[in-house]
Amino acid sequence: MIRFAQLLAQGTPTPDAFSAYMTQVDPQESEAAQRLLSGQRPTRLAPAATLLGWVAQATDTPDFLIDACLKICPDKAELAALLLPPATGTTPSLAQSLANLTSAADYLTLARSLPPEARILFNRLASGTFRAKLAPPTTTPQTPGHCLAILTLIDPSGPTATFALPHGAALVPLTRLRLTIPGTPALLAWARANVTDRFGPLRQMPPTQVFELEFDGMTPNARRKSGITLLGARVKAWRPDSRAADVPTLSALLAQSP
Amino acid sequence: MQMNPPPTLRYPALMTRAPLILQTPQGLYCPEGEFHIDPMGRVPRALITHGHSDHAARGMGSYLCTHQALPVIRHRLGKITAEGIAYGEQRQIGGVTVSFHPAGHVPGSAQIRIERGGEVWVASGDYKTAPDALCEPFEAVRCHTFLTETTFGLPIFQWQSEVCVMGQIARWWQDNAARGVVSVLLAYSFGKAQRLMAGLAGIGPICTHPVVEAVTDILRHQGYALPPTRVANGAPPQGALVIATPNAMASDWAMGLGPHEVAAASGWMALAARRKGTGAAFVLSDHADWAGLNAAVAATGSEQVYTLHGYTDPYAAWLRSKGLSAEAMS
Repeated sequence: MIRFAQLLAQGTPTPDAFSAYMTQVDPQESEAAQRLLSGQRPTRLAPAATLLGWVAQATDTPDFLIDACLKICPDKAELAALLLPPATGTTPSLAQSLANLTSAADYLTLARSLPPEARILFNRLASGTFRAKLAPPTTTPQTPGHCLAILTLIDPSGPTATFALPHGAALVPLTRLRLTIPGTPALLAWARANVTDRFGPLRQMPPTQVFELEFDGMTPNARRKSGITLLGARVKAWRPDSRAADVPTLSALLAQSP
Repeated sequence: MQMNPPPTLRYPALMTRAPLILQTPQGLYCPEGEFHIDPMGRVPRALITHGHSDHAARGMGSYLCTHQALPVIRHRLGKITAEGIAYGEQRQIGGVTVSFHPAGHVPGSAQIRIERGGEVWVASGDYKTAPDALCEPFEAVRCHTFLTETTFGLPIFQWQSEVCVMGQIARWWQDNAARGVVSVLLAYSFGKAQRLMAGLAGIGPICTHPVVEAVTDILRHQGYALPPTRVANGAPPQGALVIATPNAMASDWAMGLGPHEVAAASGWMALAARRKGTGAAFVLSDHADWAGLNAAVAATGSEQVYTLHGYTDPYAAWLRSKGLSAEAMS
């Protein structure tokens, strides 16, 4: 149950994270997880408001305190999880948690034995409000696309960088990616010495540094200035040998798309 | 902290007398001693529970705090007229006797006890009942009237043990180190930052933001057991933990850190809404949780409680439902 909660901690898991999780758990748990993430929901035990009522009664929490708590924690599944004291005893697996859930007493016993994050997830399962569906894996492996792009902005926490392509006289933002390439410390040192403007946490640099990006595909997106979203994009390399003036335009990239 | 059962023998009921502590626009005020506690407005004489900026402000005629709290307060406030006092030492001020007692919140933090002719009031300042690896542990002080902070005065705030949370942080740090990524922990520069160092000592190299290092250096010289640290200036060593303030991460300094993961450590991280936007989140607070507040109130044996900061109204209502006389002090 803890592993399953960790898997879902950052929202819907990526296929990679899911397969890593599957290698760590026993067959029963992996089967239960697969069912849940394929969209099948377990039978609802009770609505979240009822679970909260059981917890309030079991912990002797008066109504006026529940009301005060709801003001800063309006999610009843989360509130029911937080009101129980820290977990004691051994933690049941995901499969055990779901199989033994038929009464208020079962619910309280199981919920008490779970740490906070797993408890919230358990409450969502018990109240039938669990929503997480694994994206169907992309079946057609493609040869990755490549493009050159110009660094325009850096957010030091991360750190992440915004890359842009020339379009007419302007630079149009293409994508924002985390910097993990080996030359990152040197790049940040350069950026730190060349900040031209600040927008909140963002730092603007002169558009002189060229990078090679790699991506799995592109899809139209009317909400982006560039009109597209790159799929599975990553920073491949810093290209100090290339000049910004030589970077192909946005139109040239769009022409590549099928 | 020792969890005493609720006392059966309370202090003898007192005749109605003038309150020993009042709320005024400048802050808490003791009329018989003519001093304020943690004032924010300018006053002639201030008794300070600890060095956080919402308790120790500039501009007071004189300051009195524990010997342990004084160096950081001087560092933060600059040129002030200030005096230190030992924990437990009694001092006559005007018509009252005053003493300072450990609050377990940050190094040198204190509750302030005020006595007049057998009647005792205690102003808690900020406090934490559970022990940590750094500061003087909380001591319950018996009193008739207790002014308690209620920053986390709701039953949704229930902390796991210090050891358990430090274990979670250590695992996060080691996972990052194994991937060659620097770990950045965001923490308040005085108190939380040093508590993290003390609790995570001996695992790997610990670096700091200059603001954190300055306070750490002062506490180290005072004799608090802190591991060696060094200022992160440019890329930190492989697998290092960097302790920085949230503000620091929005500065150019953060660009020297290279690839890193960020985590926050605070009591507010108990709430999912507060965890959004931080990389990792650890629930670690320097304040008492729900159980800690209840244990502290019971241990004072007080018959009258005033609540301050945070969830003052619900917590006062909770104490009333348990038969105590309690109200929010505002």
